Order: sequence, then structure tokens, then C-alpha cells
Amino acid sequence: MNLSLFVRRDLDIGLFTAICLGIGVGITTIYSASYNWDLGLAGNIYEKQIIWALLGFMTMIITMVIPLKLFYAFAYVLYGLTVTLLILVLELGDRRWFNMGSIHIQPSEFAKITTVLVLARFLAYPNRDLTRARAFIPPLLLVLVPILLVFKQPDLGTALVFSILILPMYFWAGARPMHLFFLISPALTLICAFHPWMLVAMVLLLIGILFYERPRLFTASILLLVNLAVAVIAPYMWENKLHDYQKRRILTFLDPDMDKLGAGYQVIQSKIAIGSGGLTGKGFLEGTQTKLAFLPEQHTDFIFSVICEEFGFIGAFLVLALFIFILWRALSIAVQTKNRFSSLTAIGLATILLFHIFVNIGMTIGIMPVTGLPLPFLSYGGSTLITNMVLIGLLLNIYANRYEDY
Amino acid sequence: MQNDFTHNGIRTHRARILLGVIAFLFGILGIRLYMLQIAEWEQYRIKSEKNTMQPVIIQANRGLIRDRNGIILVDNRPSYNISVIPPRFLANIEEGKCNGLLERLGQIVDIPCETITKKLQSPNRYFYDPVNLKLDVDFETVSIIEENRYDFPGVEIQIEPRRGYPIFDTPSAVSTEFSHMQHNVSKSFPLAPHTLGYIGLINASQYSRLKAEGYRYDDRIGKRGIERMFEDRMRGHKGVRYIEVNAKGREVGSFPEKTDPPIPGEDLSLTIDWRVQHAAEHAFADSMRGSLVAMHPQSGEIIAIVSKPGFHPRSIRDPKAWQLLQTDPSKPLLNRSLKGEYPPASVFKMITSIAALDMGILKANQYRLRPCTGGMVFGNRRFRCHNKRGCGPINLRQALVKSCDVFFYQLGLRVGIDNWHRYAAMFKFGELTNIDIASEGDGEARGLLPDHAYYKQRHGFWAGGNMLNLTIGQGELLATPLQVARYTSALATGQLPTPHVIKGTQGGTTSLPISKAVIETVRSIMIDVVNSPGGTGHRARLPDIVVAGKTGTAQNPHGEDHAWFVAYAPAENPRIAIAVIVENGGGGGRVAAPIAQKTLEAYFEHAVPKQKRTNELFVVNNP
Repeated sequence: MNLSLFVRRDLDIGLFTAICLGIGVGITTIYSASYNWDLGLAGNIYEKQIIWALLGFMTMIITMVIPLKLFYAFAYVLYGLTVTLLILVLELGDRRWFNMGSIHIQPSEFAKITTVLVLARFLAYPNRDLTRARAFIPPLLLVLVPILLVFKQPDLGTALVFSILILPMYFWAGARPMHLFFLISPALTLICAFHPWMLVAMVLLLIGILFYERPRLFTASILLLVNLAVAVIAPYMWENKLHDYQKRRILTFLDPDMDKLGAGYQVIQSKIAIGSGGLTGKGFLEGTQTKLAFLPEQHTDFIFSVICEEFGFIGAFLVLALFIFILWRALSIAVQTKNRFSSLTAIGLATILLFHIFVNIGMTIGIMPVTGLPLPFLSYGGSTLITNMVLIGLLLNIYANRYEDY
Repeated sequence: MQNDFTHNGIRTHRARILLGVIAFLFGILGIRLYMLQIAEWEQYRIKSEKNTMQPVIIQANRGLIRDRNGIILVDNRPSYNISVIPPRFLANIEEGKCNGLLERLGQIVDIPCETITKKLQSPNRYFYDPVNLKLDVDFETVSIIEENRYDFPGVEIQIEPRRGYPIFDTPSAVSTEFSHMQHNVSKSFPLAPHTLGYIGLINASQYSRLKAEGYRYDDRIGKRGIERMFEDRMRGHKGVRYIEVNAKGREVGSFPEKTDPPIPGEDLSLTIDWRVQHAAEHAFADSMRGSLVAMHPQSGEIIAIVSKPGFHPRSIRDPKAWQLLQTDPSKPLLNRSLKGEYPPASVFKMITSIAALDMGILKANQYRLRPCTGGMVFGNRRFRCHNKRGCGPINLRQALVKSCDVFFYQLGLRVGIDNWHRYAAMFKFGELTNIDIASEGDGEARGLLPDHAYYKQRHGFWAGGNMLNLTIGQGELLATPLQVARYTSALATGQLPTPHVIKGTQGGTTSLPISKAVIETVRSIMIDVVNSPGGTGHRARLPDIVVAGKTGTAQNPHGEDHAWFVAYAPAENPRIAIAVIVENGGGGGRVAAPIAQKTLEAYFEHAVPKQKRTNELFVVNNP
């Protein structure tokens, strides 16, 4: 529990190295993305990112040496604090940020981690029988609060992070997969509600599973009612209650091509950048797409496109491999850890990472909506990098104390 | 079984499933990348080589604002901006040096060269985006730049739609029907600047919040009034066209088939009548500060809403002028109609009257209270009547007509604070009106309707002397002109409307739980206030229409009295209810009543054709 863990086998060398590599690749790419041919030099944002990275490593070390017991003991307090911050930022701040001079503090970043902690704490309690409502419902409420607050900012992408991270944690805590299906069924119905045949298929699937599972009549009828209500209300709301500009906002979110100016243009340009990279790429600082056509946000949300253009399929493949390795480490930390709370925390943190990676990369290759979620460790941005380093610090901390139970 | 968590077998089993999910998701990414980069590489390579396409934004026209008759109050007109695309321009000059090209450009646009360099180096998100150098330049400058185009690479002239106020800008555009007003129009500000609001450059915090909704750092956004409240409906949706550029970034072609035309914003129609608004604004002398709210009493539609002094919405583009407006002690930017809080003074005497009549304390023509001798002693203080010689023996009708204070001191004591508060609360004083141009309390003041508990809390005790002040609308009582106009509407119809400015807003009305006979009595007295000989409101009389009203003169410690006047007309079948206040104007009957009169005159001249008036308007309406 002190700095000597760096030289002992308590440090997960693999994970640590992978993170360093990731950040290194990130800074290099940011340099390239801000490089300007006309001027023959790069912007100064890569220097800023180096400073952020150093700060990030410091926060990581601090997170590593704080006893895990404290995270366990203060999980509810930390959660309460971040929820308060989320409320305050809606009321007093700039809805998403607190502006402290030139630094933005974004409480939803911390809230991701504290929500994982609080869920882990609740689910880690011995003998939680997740087939019973009184064990199954409270985590939903715990996660619903930040979802609503973040949704109100409005930051749909981050709200989705919260909604997703609870599923693997339930699963890891022993929930039945069918229950998880029931949990997400209203969301599926919402998507299917706009297409008659898909809706029929969804209803049949739901009824089939209900027959197979035979839950109590009360539970089953509630489920059916909720799904029916969604199926009826959603199209009605769409037709009658939403303004045209609101509809357009949702449609653009789902299909960026609708908005040829903003998101659609970005995705088209990003796909050209990636595709034209080919197997080996155009070479460092040689990406024509990123230099001339000027992909907006290329150093933040679309940084992966820059990598693909300049380093090709090989570069992209290596980055994907790096991410798989990081996720695999997180998962195996969760498996090895004796303590139930730590294990669940590791799963939750891994989910945050996975969701960000998949949605961000999916966005650059045109299979996911443009949400504005950054790519962990690679995208430019101080607050996300710091948060991710806290997250890694926690994972390393859990690894170092994997044999400890409390 | 499923809870045997420490059992490693279960864990590894579940971990395998999760690993499977990860592998599946990454598999999708990998396959898609393979398709893009290996399978379709050739196709994308060609696209990328040809890809010299750059998007150019086409601004959407912002929605127009029209008055109730369709007359355009706010439209869009072109303005010429000079802008620079930094990389193209900077490539041709020595960095940071003020000579040659930069110097010349500076002279043409009349901006010091240092300022230009600073502007060009300011960070912006899209490198090739033009930086605005000077907005709204005159045509001469445009032609000089245009003539010397090839000397100034990267300097562009952009046409941007801006808000125009046709009635103000080009009097000739207004149809000849109102031509007699034009000489006045051209001197004035655009009408109702507080209500219409204005648009301005998006600021940093708005931008970071709204960029996901398609705003750019140089967009304009509604900052106040209707422009702000209905931003989402009026802004429209930007379009885009694509141009082909060569390696130097110069436009060499276009892709018309890829153009995505902009969707113009929604037009808004107001309930305001331009002609009445105009007359009302001009009924105020230039030096006056104050407000006027005129509404249709049955529906709550605002017909005219004035706050003086006004300002020119375009001042926001000129930092110096804006600074002056913000520091001006007469607060021209304050929307007095919604945010000005004043003691309503004698205008409030109808509340005490209604309470007394409804509770059966006296009848309108009974002489039950002691005569007025110019003042009355209560506790150890003497409370004076505004008529120092005294009003003599007096009944409720005469007391309202002459606005006798001593009568109302006595009546107020009989009604008592609790009943007085109950009746005043029926007219929703101290509550937001929820007018559609103010959001959730922002942009609208509540006023203050104190009750017994308020005094207990604030001063520790309730003193009877407070009642004497409240009953004549003084003391801690505060109301906004909008609240007073709503109250006047309620007196006119017996229904309390919800005011609104946007046509089609469903306001809804609340019935007053007061007997009709009582309201009828008060209304008949209000007719006398204006029309009986010696009535305090005689300056609001109209030749062929019966006006009902009430004056008010609010004492205030900071100087001259505030002048109030409320009125509605025609008295038999009210079509318009008005509240006027002139800050530090003096007597309500002398200063505020003529303003109401001119507004009413304009309303009946324009809104109701003359020949119809006698037939239609005097039909008594029994709701």
C-alpha cells in the first residue's frame, strides 16, 4: 500500500505499459492532427496534452495508494456528492461544466466512477438475491438519478454510459440473463415501435420468453404493460408532441447523413479518411484528409480517423489490439480479485471503457451515432484523461490488493 | 447457486461470456475497418484524392415577427461583412508585422493593424473558417475590397442576413394607409424593443452548451425577449453547399447536386397591433420613464406593451453604445412592463371597495363613514388626504371618483388586513402572470402582496397603520404594470385572463369568486371617474366612446410621485384594458390619463372601423 508497489509484482505491468502506450499514441496523433501544412508547424495542443498526461499519472498514483476500504466505506458519500454536483451544475454552472477560469470541471465524468462504486457496494452486499425485486430495484434507482440529471444537461452520450454500465454489473453479481433482457425490453420496444413488423416480432419474442421463463403473473403483466405503453405512446408522442426541430435533432442523432452540414459531413469525411488509409496508411503527418479537407474535432472525437489515415489498417488493428488487451486485463483483474466489491468495481470500470471505445470508433466508421464521446487515452482533453487515469488507478489498486478481503 | 460469487468456476464462466461480448464488439469494428481500408480502399483512395470538397454554410432565414394584422415588425436584410481566412491571408505576409498588405487592409476597413493581427490569431475551431473583420460595412468599402480582390488573398465579403425593422428602417415600405404616421416613425426606435428582444453573437458558454445543436462560434442567437424565448422555433435549420477547392484553397467549382438547402425558421405572429403600439409609444414624451400595457380583456391578448425609455436593438453590435445603455441611470434596457415593480397607489382602491361591497360593509351610495377633513389621526400619527382641504361627507362612489384617502383609511380598517389580502389575491397580485414571453419567472417580476404573516416575519409585529397605507395602494405593496393591466381586465370582465403576446397561445381565464353585482357597481363608479364632472380621470375621455378608469398617484421616497392610470373601454362592452405608469411623472390624472387616452383613441381609430362603432360596440355584452 505504498509507492514500493511499483517495484513489486503488485503492479500490473501489462496494464500500466498498455496505458502508457495508448497515451503516447494519443499525443503523437494529436500532434499530427493539429499540424498545418500551410504554416509548417503544429498547434500547441499536444503540449497541453502532455501536461494533462503528467497530471493524469499523478492522479493515477494517488488513486492507487488510497486504501480500497475507503472507497467501499465512502461509496454512498461519494455518490451523494457527485449527484449534488450534477444538480448544482444544472442550476449554477453552465449545465455541463463548472467554469473555473480556463478549466472546465465536468461532474458527469466523476459521476461515472462514483456510480460504479455505489452499485458495486450495493451489489457486493452478501446474499443479495437478484431474483427478488428488493435486491433488483434499488440499483436501478441509484443509476436512474445520474441518468436523468445528465440527460437534462443534455448529454445523451454520457447518459447512455450510465444506462449501459449497470447491465454487466448485474450480470457479474449473479442476475439471470433473462431478467436483464426484461430490463432492456422497453428500450428495444421503443426502437421497434416505429415499424409494424419489427413490433410484432418484438412482442412475440417477449411473450415467448415470458412463457419460457414463467415469472410471477404480477411481474409478467407489469412487463407487458410497460412494453405496450411504450409501443403506443412513443409513436403518438413523435407525431403530436414533438416540434420539427426536436424530431430533426433525434433523426440526425440516429442517422448523421441527415445533417449534411454537421455530423453527416464529419462522418463522410471520417470514412474517406479511414478508407483511404489502406493497409499501411499515408504516413505520419501525410494524411491529406486531416490536413486539407479539415475534419472538425479531429483531435478530440475523430482522432481515430487520423490514426487510420496515417497508419492504415495495421495501425488501426494495433490500436484495437491495445484496447482489447486493456479490457482483458480489467476483466482478469475482476476474476482474480477475492473481494466482491472490488471485482464488481472492475467490471463496471471495464464497461465504461468498452462503451466509450466502441461508440467512439463506431462513430468514426459510420456505424454508431455521433455522440461526442471521446476515445479513452487517445482523444485530446484534460478532464476525460484525468477521469480515465483515476479509473486505471482504481484497477491497478484492485490488482495490487487482489488477495485482500475486507 | 447464482449467488455463490466466490466460487471461481461461476466467475470464470461469466467472465468468458463477457470476453465473448468484447470479442464480438471488436469483431464488428475490425470487420468494418477491413471493409473500409482493405476491401474498399481503392474507392476511398480515389475519393480522397478528388476530395477537395469543402462545405460552405448557407444561413437559414430567421423567422419573421408580424403584428396581429400581418404587418412585418422584424425581418431579415442583407448586411456585408468583411472576413479573412487566416491561413490563406497570413501566407502572404510576414508574421505579426504591420506593413504593406495589412496596413492597406487596415486603412480600408478602418481598423488598426494590430487589432487585425490579434483577430487573425485568435483561436477558432475550424482552421479554414473565415474570421470576421468588420460587420455591416457600407457599400463603398465593399466596392473597394471588390476592386482589389486579387491583392488581398483570403479576404472575403460575406453577405449575412441581419435583423431589420422595416417600419423603422424604410418608412416607405409601410403601406400608404398609415402614411400620416411616417414622419414620426422615422425618428423613433423600432417598436417594442424590450418585447421583441434582439439577437447577438453567441457567447462562449452558450456556444459550448449549444454546439451540439448546430450552433457555431460566430452564430447569432436570441438574447432577450421574443427572440430569446422562441429561438428554437425562429432560427431555422442551416443549409450547406459544397465547393471544390484547389490545393491553395481557392474555389474552382461546386457540387450543386449535393446542396442541402436551409430550412427557414418559423414566423411568429403577435397579438400586438402595430398602430396602437406606435401611438402608445409616442404618447409618452421623450423624457418620460414608464410603461404601458394594453390587452384584450377577455382573451388576455396584449395589444400594446411599452417600456420607456427604449433602445435600439442594434446597439448590441456597438460595444460603446451598449456600455452606455447598460450604465444609463434611467435603465433603458429594463423591461418595465414585466420587471418594473411599483406601488399601485389609488389604482388599488378598487380592491378595498370590492372587499367592502362584497362583504356587505356598506353600499356604494351610503354615507356611513366619517367625513373627510383633509386627514385623520391613527395611533399617534396623522394620515393625510391628498385633498388637503378635505372632501367633506362622502360615500364610496364619490370617494373613488375623487380618490379620497381618508375615506379609504376608514374603509381599510373595517375590511382588515386578512380580508383585504384575500380579495387582492383573487387578482393574483404577488404572483407571476406566466405571460408567454417570460420563462419560469425569468424576465418577469412577482411584485409583492404582503399579508399579516409577512409583517410578522419582516418587522416582528403587525401595526394597524400599515393597513392605512395598503388600502391606498402604498406601503410595501408592489405590482408590475402587466399585473395591473391584468387586474384592470378582470375589473372590466369579471374574469382574470392570462396575458400573452404570441398569437394562438391558449391563455385561459379564471373566474373571480366575487358577486357580479359588486363588480358591476365598481365598474359604474369607474365610468364616473372619467365621465362625471370633476372626475379625476377626465383627461381620458373620448368623444364617442365611454371610457372607465381610475387614476393613481404613488408617493415614493426617491422623488416625484409616480403617475398611474388604468382604463378600459368601451365601458359597456370592453375591448381594451390599459394600465399606464409614468415614473416620477406627478399626478396620475394629469400625466398618465392623457397617455391612455391617446392609446385608446388609436385603438378605436384603427382596430375598429368608425361606421361600425355605434352599431356593434355598444351592444351590451352579458357574459
